[in-house]
Amino acid sequence: MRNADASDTPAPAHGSAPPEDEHNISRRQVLRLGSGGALALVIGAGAGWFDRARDSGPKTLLAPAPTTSTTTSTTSSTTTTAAPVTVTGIGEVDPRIITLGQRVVEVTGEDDIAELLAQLPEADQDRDPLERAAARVRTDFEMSDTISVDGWILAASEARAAAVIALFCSESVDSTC
Amino acid sequence: MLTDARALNSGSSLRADVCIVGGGAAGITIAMEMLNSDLSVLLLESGGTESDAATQALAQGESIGAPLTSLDNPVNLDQTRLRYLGGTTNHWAGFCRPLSPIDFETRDHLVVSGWPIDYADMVPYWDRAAEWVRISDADFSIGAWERRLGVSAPPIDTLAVEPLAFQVSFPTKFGDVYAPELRAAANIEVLLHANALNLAGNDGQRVAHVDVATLSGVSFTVEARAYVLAAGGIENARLLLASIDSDPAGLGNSNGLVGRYFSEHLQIYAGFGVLEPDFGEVSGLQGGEVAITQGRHAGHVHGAKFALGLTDAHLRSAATTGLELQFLPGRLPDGAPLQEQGVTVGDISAMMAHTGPEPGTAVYLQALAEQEPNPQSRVMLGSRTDALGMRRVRLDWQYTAADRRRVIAGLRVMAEAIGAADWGRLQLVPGGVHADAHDNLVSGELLTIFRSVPDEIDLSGFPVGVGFHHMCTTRMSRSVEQGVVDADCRMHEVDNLWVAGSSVFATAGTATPTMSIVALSIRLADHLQELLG
Repeated sequence: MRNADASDTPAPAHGSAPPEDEHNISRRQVLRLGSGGALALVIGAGAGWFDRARDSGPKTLLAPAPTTSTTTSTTSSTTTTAAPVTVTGIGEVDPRIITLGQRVVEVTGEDDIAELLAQLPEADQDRDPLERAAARVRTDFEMSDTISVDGWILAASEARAAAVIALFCSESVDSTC
Repeated sequence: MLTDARALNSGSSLRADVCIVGGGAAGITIAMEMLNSDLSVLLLESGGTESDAATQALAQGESIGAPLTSLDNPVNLDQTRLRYLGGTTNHWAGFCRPLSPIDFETRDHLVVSGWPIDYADMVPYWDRAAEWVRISDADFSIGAWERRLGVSAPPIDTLAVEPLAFQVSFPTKFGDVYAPELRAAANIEVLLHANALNLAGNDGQRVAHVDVATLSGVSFTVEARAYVLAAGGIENARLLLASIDSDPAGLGNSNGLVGRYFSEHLQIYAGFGVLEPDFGEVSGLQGGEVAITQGRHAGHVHGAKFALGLTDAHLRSAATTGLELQFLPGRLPDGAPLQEQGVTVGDISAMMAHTGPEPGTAVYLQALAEQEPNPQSRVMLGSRTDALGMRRVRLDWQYTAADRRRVIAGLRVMAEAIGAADWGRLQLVPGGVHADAHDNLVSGELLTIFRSVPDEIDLSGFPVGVGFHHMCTTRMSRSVEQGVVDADCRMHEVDNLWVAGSSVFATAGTATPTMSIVALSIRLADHLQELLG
């Protein structure tokens, strides 16, 4: 992933949980996440970027926490058995991610957050989300696991991640989810 | 020497060893290859040394098939080829690239394919062709051009997609460049303003003479030991179809194949892309221009342009046809590159495709595709006649739904290769880019186009332009049942008539045709000299 280290705020180091102030991802930071940025954001949920089961407010998201996964040539599937993850906040999200995510939902008809999450790579404490996202995006393209959204040929994972964010933020009145 | 045929006496009969019809890239190459040989050569050129309207009007015809457009603008048949010394090289862009090995192979998914010669048979001629079209040499390897130009090719190299290098002639107008030598040649006579009207012969197996006329009213004949048609992909077929002394279907046309399989290169404004900010440096392109450096000879410059193409391996495994993709940087109305304005394209681009701290480079995509051989796509004769009484051309250019599907599939393969390389993202909107994007690609327009893309993009009806590349109308084949000329470019059915130019291409490929036209012409000249010498 080129230029990944160009962010003002570095992505979490390998093998360590991100500091508390990274729970809220700034727009600029998201932009600089670059390829797979949305995906990294969602993967980050499994790495502790989202609050887990600590809040049941209006923006609480209940989703099964992925535990194992198998990847085929074109799709990935996840067996979900663990306790649900409760996502309480993403932070300030670039509205373009939401716009894209909404279109992904419209185009694919995939609007179940749990099912979308189940198709994304789970968190790995040994790799930072950005690196993991980039690898998954690259694999998606290599395996032709892509989705066409308004003509844009996107890696399935990055498109689904945007959809997750859009669905989660759909009730937001501003850009903060 | 150069002679004005209008000064000849009507009823004259001229003789030569070789009579060449047409003074374009093919005809001039063959004549020049015979320069100072023992053969006398007479080259018939319809026009003079400059364009004139009356002669150019002889190229008019009707198009009844797919619309002929260039940069979104309709074009007429007489705009796609030129009738004066140098032929269509008088307005070519100069891009050179030889045919690929796959082009010569049999591809079972096509109705006809495969040449009766192999790529290896052509290898000796690429370097000689490079001399005539005046490019550096026959080395088209990416490494060579990265070194020569000091830039990098697009960093995409997968099993399916690879960078390609086009060399650039600047551009060599064959008439202007070779007229002095032709004028001074002792064994070559170029007859200007001499229009071949009929290949006369009463048995259909040999040409007895060529009936020739000028617009000023002079008529004469030319007799030769060998005749070479080198008038272009449309006019070669036209003249054969119009030569009906022995068969109303035309000369050498007992199987009805003359004029069939007419192929063009499908030109498609394919959409947009956002690529890494260093795109301009990587590709060696700024504003779509060609990268040049000082060449190996005094006064010579290396010129090349990079593109992406589907690999031969992919064409074989995916049973598809060729596709090339060029990236043309967008510009604001004031001419400033988009990236200098900090502008990115579309709502997706900044988030997904732009991976660096600087805005990504907005580009639009121009694709060039090979169409499948289609017998229904053909050159015929119309009912109207030109000023010399010759029936005009009726062109029924057709491409198929399968062609469109292959284009889309190929573009998607390229988009995926670019994504996998982390070089950017492509938005495939065939026909969604307007021609004025060349000069006036503004961010607002791009955003508007992006946002106006319908839910279901119409992939069945996107507009397709033409490249002015007229091919395959006298295709080369092993048997008379599948083509018009044999491996030596001789007509299957006419003993003393050969054909030069892209009309002999068995399949079109995606390479710009001029270099291959010239290489095949050299090969034919060698053959004729051996045969007649």
